[in-house]
Amino acid sequence: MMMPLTISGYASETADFVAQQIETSFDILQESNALGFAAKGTFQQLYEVFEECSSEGWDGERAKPISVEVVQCARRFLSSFPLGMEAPEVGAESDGAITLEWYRSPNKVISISINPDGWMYYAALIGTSKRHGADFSLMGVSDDLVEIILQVIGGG
Amino acid sequence: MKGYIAPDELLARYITSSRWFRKQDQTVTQNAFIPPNSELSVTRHLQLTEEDIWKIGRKIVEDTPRSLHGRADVETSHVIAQRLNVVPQPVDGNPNHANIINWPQDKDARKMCALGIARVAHFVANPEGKV
Repeated sequence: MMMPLTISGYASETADFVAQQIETSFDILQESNALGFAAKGTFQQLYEVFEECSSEGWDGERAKPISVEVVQCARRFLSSFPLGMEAPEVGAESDGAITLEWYRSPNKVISISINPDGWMYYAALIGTSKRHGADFSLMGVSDDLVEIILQVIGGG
Repeated sequence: MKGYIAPDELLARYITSSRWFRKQDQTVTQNAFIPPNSELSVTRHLQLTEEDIWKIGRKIVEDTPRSLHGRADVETSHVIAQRLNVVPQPVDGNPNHANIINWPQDKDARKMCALGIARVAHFVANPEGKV
């Protein structure tokens, strides 16, 4: 049986349109040299890492391949960062995770892993202080994590 | 004695990805020390010459598209300081092979251990390779 179109149905269409417009505008800003990770080459690095590490044993030993799903999660996660943020270095871990690293020195560094299970894990050294935790990567970056990154790179 | 790994023994982790070390200051990233599962392969320096150590590394990347960029040397005591253990696990072609074991289950805790090891690891570039 067909359900009648409700007011909330129209509201949903409008919400979808607005969401799409916001996403398009955000993509344009990501292309901006000053603001976005796209223009800073971060997404390009993501695809390079995928090319280098998408086969079993890519490290010459027992590394698990980086999957398309992990790349998609990482891209979505990166897109959730505030515009204007310093770009991370992209890397890979042998358990199949993609990493994002902000580094100043061996004692001032944060590494974030986007794992095949969709979870995001981070660990940071800020002088003598250690911070680590986990979150679901599709939820995007939290204010707390941005604050930790800013402490590492010296902006907070 | 080969069955016992002394705290002052040096361990080598071969660097087979250009993203496992930082060219600008020749330091090692924590990525190099994240295990693929429950154990991480290393090679003990014990009784090996520099040439022997590099020969084992070259063997690992042989027949793969990878390059041997270098190795990360770390003292066993720094691994133990992260509440990890190192056990000898000789394999064909590498009697000095060992595994770092007892990794925490949680990935963020693993990363914290790997960061702690990478912080004190010493990067040695492959004398024959491009870095």
